[in-house]
Amino acid sequence: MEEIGGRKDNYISYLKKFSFQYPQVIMLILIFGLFSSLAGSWFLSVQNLINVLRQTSLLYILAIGQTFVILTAGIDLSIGGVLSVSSCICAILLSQKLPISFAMTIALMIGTLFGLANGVIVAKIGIHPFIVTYSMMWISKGAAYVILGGDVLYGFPPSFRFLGAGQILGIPVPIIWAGIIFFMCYVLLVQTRFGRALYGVGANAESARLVGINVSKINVIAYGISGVLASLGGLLYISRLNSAEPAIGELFLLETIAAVIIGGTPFNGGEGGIERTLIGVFVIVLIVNGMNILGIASFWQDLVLGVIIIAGTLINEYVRKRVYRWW
Amino acid sequence: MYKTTPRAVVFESLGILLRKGSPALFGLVLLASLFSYATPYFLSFANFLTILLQSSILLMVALGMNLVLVSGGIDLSLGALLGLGGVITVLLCHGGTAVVISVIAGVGIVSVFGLANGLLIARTGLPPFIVTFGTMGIAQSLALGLSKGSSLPGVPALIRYIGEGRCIGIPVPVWIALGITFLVHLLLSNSCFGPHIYGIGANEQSAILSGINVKKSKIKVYFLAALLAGIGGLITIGRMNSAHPTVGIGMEFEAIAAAVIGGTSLFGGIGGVPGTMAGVLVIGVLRNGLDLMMIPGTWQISIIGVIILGSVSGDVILRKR
Repeated sequence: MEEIGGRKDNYISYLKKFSFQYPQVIMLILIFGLFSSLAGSWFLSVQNLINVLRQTSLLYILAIGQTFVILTAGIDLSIGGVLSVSSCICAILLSQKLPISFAMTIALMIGTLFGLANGVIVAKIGIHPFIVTYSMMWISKGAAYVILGGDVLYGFPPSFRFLGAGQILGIPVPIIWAGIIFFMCYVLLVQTRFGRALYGVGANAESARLVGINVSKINVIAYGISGVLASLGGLLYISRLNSAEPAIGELFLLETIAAVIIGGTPFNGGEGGIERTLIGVFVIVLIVNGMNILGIASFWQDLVLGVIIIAGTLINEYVRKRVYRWW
Repeated sequence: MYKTTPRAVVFESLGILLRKGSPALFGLVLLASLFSYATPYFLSFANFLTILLQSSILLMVALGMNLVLVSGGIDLSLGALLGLGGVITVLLCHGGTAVVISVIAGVGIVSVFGLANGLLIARTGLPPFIVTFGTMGIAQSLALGLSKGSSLPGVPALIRYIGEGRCIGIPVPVWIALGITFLVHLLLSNSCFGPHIYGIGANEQSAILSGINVKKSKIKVYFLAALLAGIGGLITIGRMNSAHPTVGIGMEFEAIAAAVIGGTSLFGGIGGVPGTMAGVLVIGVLRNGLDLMMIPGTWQISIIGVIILGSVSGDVILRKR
């Protein structure tokens, strides 16, 4: 008797513990349930769910980079601008009939350079990441407009379009990209010394330095990863849209930051991870997708996103305090 | 006995200028002389007034941002609130409400947003970045939704006077900006509220221990910042003779840049009104000079980014030496 009662208690306390440690998962389930009941048949169709996964994978690639930076207690506001400038450069090179691998390499290098520049200025000169990456956002956005001059380039070769719009065995290629990048970054964060050092720098840069970690190197690499992932996301995006223009990066900044925060990686750094960000990305993509199906005008969607950012953080904070008190 | 030569005086005053923490003033002088050399249209009284007029709206937002930054916070919603205040005021006027009441309602609703920011930040302890990031989304979407995404032309004469009238030959917005700057300066330097927010920004824990009502002061700071943004929104619709929902996008960042160029620390506890004014003028002179030199807007975006980054880096490097 006692044993069964004990087991039941354990089961309930495990559920309690889980919901208090991962309130985001509960939030995700609630949102999924809400939209399933409101917009049932179309929302739950295979077509739409694959569409959700495709949007998730693109936003997730960008949000992984943002997570790396936020884990170091920084922030990268230049993601949208870097995305624009590198995809515009790639589009121009492709329109000159240059090989795809060459165009992509150049675009990825540009993105990496912007990211590394962010990192070097943050780490070596010691300016607040907010100011550095914000200025870099302006610089890269301006560069994208200067390069393309307000034009829209469209019509890319089929083999380039395959990267963002194609399918392998019925699975959209962007999902495979996101899977590969998630795997690589997860191993990098969890299994390597670099990953441990990244968490250490985010939690307390001064003690990380005293332990012998090269803090500025870690910072530079984190911003570099964010830059290269932003430009990769941009390439996949223009490949799916089949067109490129300087304004394509505007939307992504708010969504990546919201995804990281809702997922449970706080701005203070040193805590969280990219697997949590995946939940945050799902929450955002499902909300936007559900609102689109329900026919809510795009003007009002930011309002919902704003409320969710504040409410999500409130719940996360509240729950964390409770967890510390109870367990 | 010291011998005072003109050269020594010049060097000494230059040294004081650099040491006394006014790189913004230094940059202002540098930029002004550069533009006076580069274009013949820069150095005139009319253009001087134009720069002041163009800077007055940013100054409203930057003064509020400076208060928030000094208290150790940040307010990303100010730009969106500026747009929202204008949209609400014009919508109410179009609906037949008396001008004065719609002005009060527009600025009032914006201030309520500031109050909400302050309450959330002070009561729940959430990071200001996230709270105001959320309110930015909410305010932006309200402005777009209420105006259905288009600009609303036609503003009553009284508000137009606020935006583009003149009084003793000087534009009304400049008078308003000067008056409010003076008031904020008094608030920071001649009231007990000023030292309180410096104390909170420098070290919140010791501010609590020395008996400052930290929560109340924080709520006041965000309220004041939003109020100033609302007044900025009023000037904006008066100048443009229409309310545009997206007019404030990016202005919060420009305000942060202006405050930081003016010597305000992003970590709180340091910053003043004169510095912020100089920082706003640096951005204003830059915009104006680049316009006069016929440099296209796309290039300007990049150039301003480079200059903000350069000036902040220079400041940090100089301070380390």
